[in-house]
Amino acid sequence: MARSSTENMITLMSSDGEEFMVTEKVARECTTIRNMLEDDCVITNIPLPNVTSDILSMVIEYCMEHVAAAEKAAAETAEKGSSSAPAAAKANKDLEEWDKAFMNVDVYTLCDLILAANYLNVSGLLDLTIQTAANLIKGKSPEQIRKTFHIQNDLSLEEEEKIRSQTPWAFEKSE
Amino acid sequence: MDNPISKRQKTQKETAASDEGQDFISNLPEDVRCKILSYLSTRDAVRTCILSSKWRYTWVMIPELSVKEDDFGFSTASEQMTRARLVKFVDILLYLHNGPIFKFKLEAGKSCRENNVRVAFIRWILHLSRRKEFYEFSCSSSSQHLFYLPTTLFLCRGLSILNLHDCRINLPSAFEGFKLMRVLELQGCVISGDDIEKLVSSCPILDELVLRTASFGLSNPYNELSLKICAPKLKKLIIHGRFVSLLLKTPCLVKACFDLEVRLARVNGRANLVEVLGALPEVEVLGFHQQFFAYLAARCLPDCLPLTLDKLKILSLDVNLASPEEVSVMRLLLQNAPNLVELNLTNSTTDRGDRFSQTNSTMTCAGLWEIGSGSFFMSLRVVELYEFFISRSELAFLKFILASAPLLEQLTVIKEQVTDAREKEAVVEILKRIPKVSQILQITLE
Repeated sequence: MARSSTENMITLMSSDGEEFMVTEKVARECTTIRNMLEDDCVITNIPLPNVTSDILSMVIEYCMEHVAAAEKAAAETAEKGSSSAPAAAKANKDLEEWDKAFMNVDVYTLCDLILAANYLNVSGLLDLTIQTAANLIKGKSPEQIRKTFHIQNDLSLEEEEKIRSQTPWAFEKSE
Repeated sequence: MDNPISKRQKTQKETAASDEGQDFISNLPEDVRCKILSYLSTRDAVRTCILSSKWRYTWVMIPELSVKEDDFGFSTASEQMTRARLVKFVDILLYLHNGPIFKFKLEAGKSCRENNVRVAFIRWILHLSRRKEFYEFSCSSSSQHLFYLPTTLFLCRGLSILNLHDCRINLPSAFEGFKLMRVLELQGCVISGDDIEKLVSSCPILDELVLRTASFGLSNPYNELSLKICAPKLKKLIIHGRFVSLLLKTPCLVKACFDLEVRLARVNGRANLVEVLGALPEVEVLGFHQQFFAYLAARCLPDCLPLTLDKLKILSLDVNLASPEEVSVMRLLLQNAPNLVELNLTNSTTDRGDRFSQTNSTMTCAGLWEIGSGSFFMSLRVVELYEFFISRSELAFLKFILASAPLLEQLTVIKEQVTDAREKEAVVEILKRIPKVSQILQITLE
């Protein structure tokens, strides 16, 4: 990444040994890493044994986009003295669109991203991925949800009936 | 680092081959699966209990519970059945729940008038009051059927957010206060002025207070606000209702909105502009709506305000621009707000006479906007004017503001009625002809 040399660079190492150079600002988007940096400020190389290179590259992509958007907004505010509401609204909408496109992934990648966002504690990404997963469940029948996420039903028919009978209203068809 | 996009496509292809048919979501940590369920409606969340044995009890660990009566009223269920389900569900949920409960939100609708729901509600609150981590409660019913709030709620000492809609509230005499309360919102609630005063002053770190009475028009004494608000840390205050009396001790207030209907016959006690503003030394966002500004203006005609609102950035006023006393107080207010950035005005003139009427009061009002020497608003950037019909008094105000705001960026005039294109053109023409000191001004007419 060509960035101004005055910024501190941090190397993040994925579970499969790939190295990613990022600016400290981008790395700080991950609360887990921010905490590490605050504990030991000379640290420059952080191994992340729980995150594969594929997923780490996506997390970094997300953090870079959001840092860039925040920097742009801050620059505009500084320039004009106050941020203009319509411009801020547009920037927000653009970022939302970007997030939406970013979430165009299969369920495996989605689950891996949730795990990584949870482990690295990237709150924006965690909210985004969890909301996406919730949208895949919303309004669906249990059969559809099992199919979407490849969930094996290990309950016997009797067990299932018993559980259903505890909250029958939840399983009624809505009109 | 290679291009992340191409990498992602690769990722998807690879995973598709090796992970096909694997159940990733069930293997996520339980608290993460819980979080997914907390983004769903109760009904959708509960239905996940038969996905597999791993999901059997996930829903009873959701830390943020939201229960809506509507969720239980599917298909042909009678009201009685709906209520029975609601009660049974919450009972099971609280009984089985084996994680922390941070928030509990109940939308009770019509059920609240039924005795069995009320009794159950007392039971639930009692249960929640024993949980140390429980900090947010919100409850709403429908305005026709006020909910009798069980006094056990006042035992939940850890509450920091409380949101009550359409509840009947009686403070127990033994109430010891909510030491951690930050946000308190009461909408359409029936509660006495004394109880509001007591409740607010026993929340020492209260940050935000919203009070809205039930709809107006009814001759309901609970629409009337007779308030003494003493909240040393309060930052945001919104009050909406029929004004009777008001006393503020809120030195930290940053955002204040007074949306108050005034019927002089009912007003008891006093409030004047100097007192109200004097209680708000830190205010940045200020709004006076309905007749409250007119009321304050009528009771205060000082030649100068004995205070400066240095921090005021956004001012919203419902003001009668054809009333000399309101106009003169408004001008004073503007002159004492040197750092104002945004001004929103709604003209509440009832006299919609001829555009160029020359009645005494319009002439007086127009005269009050004579441009004085050196009164410039150096920070003013946005002006929005609602219900304007370009009368003489409004034009005088427009001339004044355009001549004294050199950095004004945006002027929006929202006309009272949608008029035909020709009239619109004529208004644009009038606006264009007004001399402006700002080089960067954009005018929008809607």
